[in-house]
Amino acid sequence: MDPQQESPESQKARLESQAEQAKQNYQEKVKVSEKKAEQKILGLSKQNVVKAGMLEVLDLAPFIFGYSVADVVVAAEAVTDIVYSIKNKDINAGIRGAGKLAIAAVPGVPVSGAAPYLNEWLPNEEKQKTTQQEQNIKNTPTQNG
Amino acid sequence: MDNQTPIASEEKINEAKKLLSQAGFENPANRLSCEAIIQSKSELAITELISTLQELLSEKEIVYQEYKQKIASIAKEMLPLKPQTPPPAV
Repeated sequence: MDPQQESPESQKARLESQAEQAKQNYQEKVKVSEKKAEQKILGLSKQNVVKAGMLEVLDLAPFIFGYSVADVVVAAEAVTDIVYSIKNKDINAGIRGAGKLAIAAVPGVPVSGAAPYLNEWLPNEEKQKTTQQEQNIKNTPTQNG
Repeated sequence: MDNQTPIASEEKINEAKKLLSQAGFENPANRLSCEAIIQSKSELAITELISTLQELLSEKEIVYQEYKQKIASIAKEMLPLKPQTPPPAV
């Protein structure tokens, strides 16, 4: 339609729709750029030295002392798997990560480092359930007191 | 952890931190991975991270400029549609 013959209302609607389309294109292009960067970052994260860095970021570093690099890497892999599972909504990777944490040859590795990320991944009702369970554990009196 | 890995300079580490703060990742997992790379202090990994973040920021800037221009041209077309207020009565 010739814009000269368009009513102001339909012209306004057309321009608003163009603005919305421009916004969507912008968001889509940003997403593509971030996805590209994400792939490179994920590649870098696979290096053993970076996995050790991951443990430090998650405040798991004190538990590294006294263990071999191989042990630490198993624990770091577990955490990276969980992070990957959140990022890609891949439940299998999450289970694999949790399994690795359970068998990690570092007995002191606290799951608490990964817990906030797991929590984010859970649906709301599961989140509430977990929080309630944590609260119950805190409120349970110990045998000594 | 690995004595063979060259350590990145403080300057490089700070540059990576600065770029990460500008990247504005929405996904906490991406930010976490970048922080782990910085924490590793590995010269190679941090150099690669800096170039990845620089590339991302420059792509984002190009896309933003395109978006800004498009919105500006739409806004220009919208201006005459603004209801005209009558001149105040004298």
